[in-house]
Amino acid sequence: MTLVIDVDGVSVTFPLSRPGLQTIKRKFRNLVSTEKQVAPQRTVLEDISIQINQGEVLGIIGRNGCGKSTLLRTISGIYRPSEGTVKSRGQLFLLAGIRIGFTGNLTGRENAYLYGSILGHSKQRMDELMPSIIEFSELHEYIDMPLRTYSSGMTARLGFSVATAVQPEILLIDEVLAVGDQEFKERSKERILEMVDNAGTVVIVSHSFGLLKNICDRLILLENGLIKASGDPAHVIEVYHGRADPEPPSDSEE
Amino acid sequence: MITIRRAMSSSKELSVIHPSPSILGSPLRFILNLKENKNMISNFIRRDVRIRYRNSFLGYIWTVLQPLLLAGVYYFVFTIIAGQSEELYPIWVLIGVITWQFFARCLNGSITSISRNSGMIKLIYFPRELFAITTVGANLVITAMSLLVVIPFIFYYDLPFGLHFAWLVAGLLISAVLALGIGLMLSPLNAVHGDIAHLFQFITKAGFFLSPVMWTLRMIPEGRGGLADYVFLNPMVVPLEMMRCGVDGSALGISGNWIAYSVGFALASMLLGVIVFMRAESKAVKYV
Repeated sequence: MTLVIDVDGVSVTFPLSRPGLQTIKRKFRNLVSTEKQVAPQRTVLEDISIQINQGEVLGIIGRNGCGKSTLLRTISGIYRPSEGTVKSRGQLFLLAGIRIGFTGNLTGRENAYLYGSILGHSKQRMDELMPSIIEFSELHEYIDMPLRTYSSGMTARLGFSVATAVQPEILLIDEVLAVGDQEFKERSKERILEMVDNAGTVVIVSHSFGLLKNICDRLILLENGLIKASGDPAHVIEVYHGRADPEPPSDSEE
Repeated sequence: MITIRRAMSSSKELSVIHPSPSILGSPLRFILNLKENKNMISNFIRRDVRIRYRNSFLGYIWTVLQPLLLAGVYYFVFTIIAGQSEELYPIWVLIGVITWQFFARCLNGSITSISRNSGMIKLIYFPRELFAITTVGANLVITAMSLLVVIPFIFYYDLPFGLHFAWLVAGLLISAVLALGIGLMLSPLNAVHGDIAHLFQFITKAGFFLSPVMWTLRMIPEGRGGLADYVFLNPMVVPLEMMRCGVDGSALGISGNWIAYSVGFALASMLLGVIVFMRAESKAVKYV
């Protein structure tokens, strides 16, 4: 088993107030006072350690505001941990917003190339991918029209198709994105499941417990920035509903 | 199987994705990030250039029309009302306006680069200095296009063609480096305190009058008791004068010390800007 993502003692805090006169005052006071004061802050993640191995599908659940998205963003490099380190091995991709950089006055094709380059694809790679992107998004004759003439469903289809055109080694998913009409929703869900199958490693944040039970090897329940339970998906979901004890069943490690 | 390369070293070691660079490591990291993201940078620049004029009827023409109209106003005020008699004044003020607009747009654009892009910053990680760099790059392209407007003037005033055009490149480069340096230095601070952007809106407006934009060094009357020397403390004076010499072919006539001061000022703010930005951006994005 190779370790692919190593989250080691990670805390992420967000400042509550902007630094100002209070900050200077506090600094001076801390010089002389033995009681050190710290700036008011909100701790979103506190001392989180998670090891994820090659080939593992890990699900993260929890109430709104428990730190799920912040954890994914920290793993993908968006936030730097206030304490601890996040290390990873291999190419990593966060599937979150699927219309990054989209601009109404550019055509669908131009937007696709721009988004592709944000995702790290070269121009040649995008040339190769474009037919399959057009195919999957079903935008055929619309692809060279300005994005502002698209419906929101069409925009989402384009974004989803670009974002998922390439199979990453490590896939981070913040909510399975169900976009477009019913038919496209089915296909996009299918494609995500396909990506989950093919990706070496997956971390997925979701509220659809049915889906998580099916695809995850392990679940983590976050509560107020702490890991409340971790392990067997069915058990962790029971803990979430308050129907089981957070302690893992006797057969697990420790 | 095709895989994604995104802000990761290609090595198969466990590595930190977005490590905090040391003071000395920051400039190196900055240069590596530029090299690794060339394609994204050129795509962003292309987008910015395209969308600036895409929804207007006159499109690209606005790039030249805007400075031309503004120069026309100053020509009216200074030459017709105030009786300014310099023959080349219209072209001097035109170049001044184009150069200052370039500097002001680069500066204000890079100061707001973190706060403007908060949406994208929360969705995907890539080096955040690219926002400021692409803003400056797009303005460089647009300004290069608007400089074409001086060609008819060169023929009209029968100005020489020659190597002095190189001053145009030097002038634009110095202003770009200066604006990017100050912008990188202040954009994390502006993400925390939005006051910075408001302050610099004012500074770039005041600088328009305090720098030789609608006046030139040649227009400062003799015998101001050396007071004119203090004008050079403004690091934009040298690039503005370079731009003028680049068009009319006259000698720069500025002492080497002041040129060195201006270039050094730009390079020093760039170096400081890179270090400050690379070390502060990850904290600043928690405020946007």
